[in-house]
Amino acid sequence: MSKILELNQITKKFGGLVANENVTFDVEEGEIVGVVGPNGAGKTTLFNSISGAFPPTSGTITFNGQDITSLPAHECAKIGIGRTFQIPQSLNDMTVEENVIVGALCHTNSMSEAAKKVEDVLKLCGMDKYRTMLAGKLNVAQKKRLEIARAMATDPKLLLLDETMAGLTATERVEAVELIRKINKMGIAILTIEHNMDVVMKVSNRVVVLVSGRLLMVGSPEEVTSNPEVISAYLGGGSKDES
Amino acid sequence: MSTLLQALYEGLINGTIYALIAMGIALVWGVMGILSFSQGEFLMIAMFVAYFFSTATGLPPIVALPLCMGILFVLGLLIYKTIIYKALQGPTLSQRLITFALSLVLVNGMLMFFGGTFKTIQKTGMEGSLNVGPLVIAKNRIIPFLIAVCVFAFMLWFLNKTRQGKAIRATSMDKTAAEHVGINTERSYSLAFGLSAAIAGAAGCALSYYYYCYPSVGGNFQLFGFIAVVMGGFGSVEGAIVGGLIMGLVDSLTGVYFNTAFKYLGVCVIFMLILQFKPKGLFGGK
Amino acid sequence: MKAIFGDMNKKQVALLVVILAFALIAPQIFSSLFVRNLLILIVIWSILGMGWNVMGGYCGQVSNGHSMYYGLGAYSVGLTLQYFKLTPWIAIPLGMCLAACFAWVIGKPILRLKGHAFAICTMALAECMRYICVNLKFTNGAKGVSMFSKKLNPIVYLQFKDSRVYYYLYLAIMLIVLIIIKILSKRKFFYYLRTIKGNEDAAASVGIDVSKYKIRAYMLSAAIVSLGGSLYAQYMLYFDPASMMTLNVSMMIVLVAVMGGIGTVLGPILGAVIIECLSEYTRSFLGKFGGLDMVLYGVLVIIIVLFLPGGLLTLPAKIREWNDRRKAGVAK
Repeated sequence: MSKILELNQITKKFGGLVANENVTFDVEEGEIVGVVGPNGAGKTTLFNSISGAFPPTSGTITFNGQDITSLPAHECAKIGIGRTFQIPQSLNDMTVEENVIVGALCHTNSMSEAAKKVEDVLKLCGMDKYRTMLAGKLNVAQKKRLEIARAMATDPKLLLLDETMAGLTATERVEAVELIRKINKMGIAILTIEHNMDVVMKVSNRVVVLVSGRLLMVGSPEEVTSNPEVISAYLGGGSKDES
Repeated sequence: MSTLLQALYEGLINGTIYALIAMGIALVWGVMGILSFSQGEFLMIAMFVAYFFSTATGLPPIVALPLCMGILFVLGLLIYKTIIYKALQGPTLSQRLITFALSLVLVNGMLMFFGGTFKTIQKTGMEGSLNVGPLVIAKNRIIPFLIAVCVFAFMLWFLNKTRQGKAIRATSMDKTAAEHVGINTERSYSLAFGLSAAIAGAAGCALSYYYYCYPSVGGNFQLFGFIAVVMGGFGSVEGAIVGGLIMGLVDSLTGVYFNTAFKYLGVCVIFMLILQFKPKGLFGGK
Repeated sequence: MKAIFGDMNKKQVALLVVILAFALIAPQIFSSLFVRNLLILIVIWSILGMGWNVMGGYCGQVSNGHSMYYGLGAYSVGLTLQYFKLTPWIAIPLGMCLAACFAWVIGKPILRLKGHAFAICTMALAECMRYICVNLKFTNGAKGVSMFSKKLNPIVYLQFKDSRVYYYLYLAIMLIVLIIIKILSKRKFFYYLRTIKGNEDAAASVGIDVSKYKIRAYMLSAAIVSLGGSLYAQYMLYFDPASMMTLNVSMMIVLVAVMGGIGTVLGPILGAVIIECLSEYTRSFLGKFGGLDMVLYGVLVIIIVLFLPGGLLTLPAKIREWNDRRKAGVAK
């Protein structure tokens, strides 16, 4: 298998604050990689670097063999990086259908073609029954699904999911895991930030552990859960030096 | 050289008035997010108050300062309670349009009652000018300057040191959080609106020393105030003061070295330059 | 046709036909100059409102300085006639292109600003333009531009004695603008604008080049408002910067778009009807009381905006809501 995403020595500084430091890992095609770490470990910052929202201070990001380090967000979306947001950024004054249409228009100018795409995506995400509802009226779980649907409509090769499970009930989580698996089966690689360890271990092929902006380890779910450093990082909540 | 010094000096003096206006705008903007188009009209009403007081009693306008500020404070509170309070539940743009319509009402109301003629206070007790080194200092600018400095000092003290002032600042930072720690944000809102009107009141009283008063006098000062607020950093009171002083300098320097016709061009150029390098204004943080 | 009426039900189409029929016979029913003048102003202000709406309503970037493009449109017909005897048939599209180019140039720096800051910047620029127009010899300064001449061919130079000719011509132009906007509102371009209004981060995440689309919206908006300005100048045959390029005009344009229903296709037309009727009638009845007309106008605007922040198109929904609440109250 070839690598779809390669991060090489990614560092991101906000003034004096170092949010990511020398993070290096990669994602293979068709793989699900979980990103875990305590609050403030720099997970979302990393996503913002990959998706082009805030380019990294140094290091390189390669997507499908193309250097995308300083590519702006909208270009990243065009070449196949879809993303969701930790706090759902739904377009509240538009209907569910329109929210997804906007995503589908990424690769076409024709409204009818976009409408077809929307049809498939809404079914895939189980949102077709809400299509005429205003996005602002959805509940959290539905909004998170809508985020995925909108990103899926852009035909991504890599999907970045930022805490899609947070705030969901147990049944909703099961449904979400199912959806992630379904999307993955379509051949789309997934990089997912997740707090709920059970979920991460269940869906991920590999897990990346970030602590205080630095990469602690990359490995299979079993390797990660049995690593004493990871355990102490989680329980101690501190940095690597304290362990 | 002396022309430059004179221009700089006059710019700073005029700038204090712009800074006063900007301060009131910044206060309302920072606390409740409204771009208030009635700020200039508050200034105008205060000028009328000072004018009528002075012509009726023959006393200098400074005596009317408490009156100006008091009347405007009450007017501000009334407007807040009757209109702004309700407007705050609507979208931002509606709020802006409502304050604009309010300014139409105030300008034309004054026009209806007092006519559109230019009125100047005949006896301010500060006629003539002094020569200080190379500078010619018009006496009628001294008291306005002092009023402005006192108001700046008072407001900075009030916002940073007093309990109620801190409550207002907390409300502007995060309304929900402020409510959680027991701050009466409703009171902060009404007080901020009243205070911003009172500041405009002080500005009006100061301005009446050397500027003629007529119903639409506020518009120009208000726009300068708006620009000063954006320059200084949106909603920052300290930034508004600095922004106001810059506006005064730009105003007087373009007037001296170019045609006054291009005053606004100068303002726009400086404005754009500042925002290119500091998109959040001089005092606007990240 | 489907692109235009596709999403309406029969009732709405019928209503639209009735309104259009009324618009067509209105100047025949009302022979008074006052009403005919009012009708033409409504048409012109509808165009202005629609133009602003592209930027403010759909894209969510509220400009308070569109009087600048209104003036630009007027000067482009006025000055080209004065200096080159150019026919407005060419000058009007030329003015629209000029407005779009100008919007492109200044759009780059100012569209980085958001919210109040953007609004203030547009106001400052509009005021700057007014000062320049007042002070340049080239623009005849504060005197303004007078375009009337008996010697000119009425059709080539769009100078008609009968105001009904203006009305029908302008109505046709307005309908064209309306149809273009209606079609666009179902296309990618407007979907993208609405996305930008909703959330810029989300917009970028689905591949929308936010700044590019904002500038395009601004250019289209400027061109339409410039068209309105040209039509106004062509109708009055005289204009000056003090009446066209003030903050009040800019704010009126915003009011027209907001009062009807912001971000809707028909909102600006409804808004223009309300605003123009309000201001013209108050002026004609109360104008002699120096200021009373504007006081009343301001009060009415405050009341409407305060109670219907979504515009008059939301009135039916509001009434339903009130009714429901009243019924619920009775039931208790």
